[in-house]
Amino acid sequence: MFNYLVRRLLTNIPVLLGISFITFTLVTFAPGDAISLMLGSETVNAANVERLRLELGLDKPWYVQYANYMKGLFQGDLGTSITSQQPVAKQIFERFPNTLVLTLSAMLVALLIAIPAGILSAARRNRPEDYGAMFFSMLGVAMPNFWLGLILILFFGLELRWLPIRGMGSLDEGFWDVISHLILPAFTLGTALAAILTRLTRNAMLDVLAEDYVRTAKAKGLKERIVLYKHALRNAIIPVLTTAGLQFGGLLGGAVIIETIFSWPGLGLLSINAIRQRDLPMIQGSVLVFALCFMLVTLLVDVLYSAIDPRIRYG
Amino acid sequence: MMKLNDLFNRPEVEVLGQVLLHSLWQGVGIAVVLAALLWLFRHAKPNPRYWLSLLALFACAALPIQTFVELGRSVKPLQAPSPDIQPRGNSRVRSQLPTLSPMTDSSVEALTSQWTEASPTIVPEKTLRHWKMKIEPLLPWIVLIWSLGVAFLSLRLVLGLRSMRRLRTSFVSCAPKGIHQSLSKLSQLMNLNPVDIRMSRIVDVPLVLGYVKPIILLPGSAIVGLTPHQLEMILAHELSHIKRGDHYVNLLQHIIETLLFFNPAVWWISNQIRQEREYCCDLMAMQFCKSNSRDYAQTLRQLDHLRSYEQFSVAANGGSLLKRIFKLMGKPLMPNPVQGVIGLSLILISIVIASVAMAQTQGGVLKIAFASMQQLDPYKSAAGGEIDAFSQIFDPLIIPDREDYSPTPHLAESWENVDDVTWVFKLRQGVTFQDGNEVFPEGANRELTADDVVYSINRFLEVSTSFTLGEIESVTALDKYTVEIKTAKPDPFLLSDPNRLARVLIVPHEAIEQLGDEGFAQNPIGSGPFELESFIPDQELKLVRNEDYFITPNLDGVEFVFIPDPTVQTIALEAQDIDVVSYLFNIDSVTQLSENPDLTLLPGAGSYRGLGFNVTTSPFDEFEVRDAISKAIDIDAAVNAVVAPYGRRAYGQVPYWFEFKEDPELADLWSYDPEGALEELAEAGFTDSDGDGILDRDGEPLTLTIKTIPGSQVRVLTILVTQLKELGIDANLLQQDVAVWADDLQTGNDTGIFFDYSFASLTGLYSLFYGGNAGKTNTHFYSNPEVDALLDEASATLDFETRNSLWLEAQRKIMADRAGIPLYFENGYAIVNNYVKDFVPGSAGLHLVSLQNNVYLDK
Repeated sequence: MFNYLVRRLLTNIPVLLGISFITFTLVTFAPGDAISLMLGSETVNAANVERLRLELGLDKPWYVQYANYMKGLFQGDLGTSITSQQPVAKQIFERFPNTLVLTLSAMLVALLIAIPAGILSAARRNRPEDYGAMFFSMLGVAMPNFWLGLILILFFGLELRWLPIRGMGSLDEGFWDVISHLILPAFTLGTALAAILTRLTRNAMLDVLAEDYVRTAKAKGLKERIVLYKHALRNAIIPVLTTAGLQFGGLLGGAVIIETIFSWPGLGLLSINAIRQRDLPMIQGSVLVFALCFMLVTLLVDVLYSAIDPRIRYG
Repeated sequence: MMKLNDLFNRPEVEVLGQVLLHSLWQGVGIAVVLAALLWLFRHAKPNPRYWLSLLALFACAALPIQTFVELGRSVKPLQAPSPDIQPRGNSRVRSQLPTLSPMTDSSVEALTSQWTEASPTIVPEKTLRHWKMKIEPLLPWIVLIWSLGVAFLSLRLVLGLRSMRRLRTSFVSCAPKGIHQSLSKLSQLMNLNPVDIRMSRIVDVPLVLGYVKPIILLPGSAIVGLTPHQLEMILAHELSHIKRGDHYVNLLQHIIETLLFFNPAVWWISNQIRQEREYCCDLMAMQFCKSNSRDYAQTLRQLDHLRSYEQFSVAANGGSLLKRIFKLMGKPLMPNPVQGVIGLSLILISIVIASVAMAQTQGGVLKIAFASMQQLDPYKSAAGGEIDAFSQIFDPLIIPDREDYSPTPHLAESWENVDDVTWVFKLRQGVTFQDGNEVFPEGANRELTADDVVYSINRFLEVSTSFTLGEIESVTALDKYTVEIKTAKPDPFLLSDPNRLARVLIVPHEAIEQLGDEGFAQNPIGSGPFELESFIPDQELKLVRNEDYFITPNLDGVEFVFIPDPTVQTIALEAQDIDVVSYLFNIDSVTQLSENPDLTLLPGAGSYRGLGFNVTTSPFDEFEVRDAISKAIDIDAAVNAVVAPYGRRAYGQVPYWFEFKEDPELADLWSYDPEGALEELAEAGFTDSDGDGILDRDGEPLTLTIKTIPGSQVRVLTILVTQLKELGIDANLLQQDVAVWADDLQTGNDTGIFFDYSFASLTGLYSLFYGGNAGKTNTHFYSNPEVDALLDEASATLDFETRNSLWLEAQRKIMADRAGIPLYFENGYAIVNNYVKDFVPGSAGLHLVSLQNNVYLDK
């Protein structure tokens, strides 16, 4: 297992390098750059902007810039933001935990909704519970999350005033403060995934419930609950987890919008602003962290397989 | 149709309600002053007393109007902003402020003490707030009742005037010849045009009727009841009314009484006028008839039999008969104890109401939304949220005036031009940097001196990317409180441009040395009205009042709240989750928020939006093509359809809110003339040679691809594109990302035509059209040596008039060359909840506490 983990981590390094190269060249060759944006301002101090360009090495050919960037990266330096002139690493690591909390909570919400709903749906196939679950699943996929977010803000935040509409909350104010701030954004972000996973769980469960060993278990006289949760679910959950892992990247992407709507100070917002302002070091840093995060979650899912299904072994 | 409920929920109605309440104490105050003056002049002749009373009545009418305008300004624009930037906020304070003139210590003290004064102490502040809260919901009802009262009294007035008219003709007969003779004799004596006189069987007192050609109406009984001499005195009295124009004043009085019927003070003053008027006429009548006071008193007594009848005319029995007789006989009047009690009660009530009305609420934390705030080093950013925060923590030398953006004193108390290139600034003494931090422990703060200003300006010159100071030769501290700045060439913009010296915020060198650049950016220390409590980048910034500040801030603190999404910002504002959105630049949101009576829209500086040409790209390198396009589009229609009333047509680039004024001549430069456009294009060789409906030249269609970024202009340009298409020009719109658009424009813009934007700084014309800026801010690549020379000369001319004429001449040339087509100026707004008072939209930073304003919450 250890060897497997090391091997997987090592294979991720070239992938990350590839990603950094693609991002760098894409942003460099895309029209528009941070310095022209600055120079376009009427009040600009053109001489100081020019000096900033030299200081940040933006006057050099792109491959020299990339080489310098990689040199810094291997020394743990993600560079300096062009617009805020603050170290990129500091800003990213201040924000990243917030995004992680949001996406993991959204994932949790999705799983907590999808798995029971999927099981119920499969167990009560073609009955009102099934239709109900499928209807909501359809609705979940169909609703754009920015719209759902605004509706939830209007209803729970402003109409009922049950939940705060912005920010993260603070542990100093108590655990509930953090949770109450998390509910709306996590729910908004998790809804679409919940909808997909509900359908997936239902289908996987239906497949598994048709298997011989389930029939055998039922024939043995085991209670339906035991059959469902112990025999069927463990086998049905593997594709659900795989999809959930793959969808984690989608959640990170969705977080960009949700963070904006719920004023969640995460990495998504930072990166979208960086893209708008063509702040290359910041874009580069954010993309690398997102990519790394995605890889680690995929790895985690792979490791979880063996925990769920003992037949799966890594060596 | 607007429902009654909606009508009474409009902000104007609330303002009117407040005005009516204010007018109560204002009226009582005026009445008290008048009573005191009348008492002082109790032995004076009636004429000055009459004029005093009249003045008091007009003051009663004028003050509510002034209050309405004052309160109305702080609510929202009821119509398109006027050509001059709309004055905002408290003009009472504003009028006391010098603009460019240096401020003396005493004037500053007077101003600061005004702000530091606690609320009036007669009524406890809590009680005042309680009453204010109680009264506020009643305002629409007060207005409703007032409207009904005014309607009723207006009806009464109109009916009264009509019956007066009827009196002129009904039941009247010609006056006897003798009376006519007396009247014409008196008229000649008084130097009056002949006045008609009629006998009436209905009226029982003599009176003057009509306004244009007044007549005298005598009761039939007057001939029988009065001797000829007495009759003459009565006629003389009536003629005195006509001579003095009392009938006009009387009408005005009735109108004011109708409008302010609820105010007993107004009635009292009005009665006072009537009383004094009669005294005046009595005196005049006696003078012209050469009779003594005893005879005249006897005549009045005779008249007492003839009871008052009309009140919409001026009559010889107006005022209290007893008082008039006492006055004529020169005897003092007995004071009335009941009137005294009523007067005293009115004074007390007025004091209470005035206290409630004028109560300023101290304390509270102002919550301002921001979209991005990563660091707080004031020289290293131009992001909106950061700029709003800088000016709370740090102080500049000067602050732009809240109305005309001219420099006003702040840390610099005064300044002078020693010569064309030398500016000497005298600093305010006793200003200290904030303490209680790692650089200046509690109580160990130090004074801000000239050395700090020198350090700050040098650091600004070195690191600031967003703003420039122009070419600075040297900065020197002449003594502890005197700084000299030498510019490389004469530079009027150093002070007058809000983006130059007003952007230099003074920092303590120890803080940067000890904390380092990065540390300082997270733990800023300045001398401003609020000091740092906590800062988490892009999450929150909490500031608390700097107790040592040279003006005591009304607010306890300021909290900057992270809300990146503009829609959520407006939702949070409406939910009172935040108090202020400091700058909103979106016509749709402004329109939506303007409908909310709980919010106030404060117009600030806006932006210039037009169509630009790269004058080096074919076919826009031909004047005829550019000119034809300007004629082919109906700009007024497009601008009115999309941006009115939150924007207005522009005829040039120079914005109307800064020192350079709009040039009226420019309007004649532009006309909508599609046929003329086609002719001009034909002359340039563009005709529809292949019959496909598109103009072409040498087989190449005339194609216009306007590059734009998102904003209100997309809708305006869409309309213009449609108009161009109708003329056979292959026009279309290409919406781009801001960075792509900026880069495209700077690198030459292959399509040659673009949405021309500038946030219209003072020197925007220079940025956009000066040859030396080509490829940077001048994306027109326009280069006209004449224009460059004019702009160069203007930029080095200290005399405003000369500078203004040079600048406008340059603009005329640029516009005549059609380097761009100005479309409109769009206003920017600060949106605040109504309880946020004395808020001034940011210019060169957001100033919550300055010599011009001190924001407070009136919840």
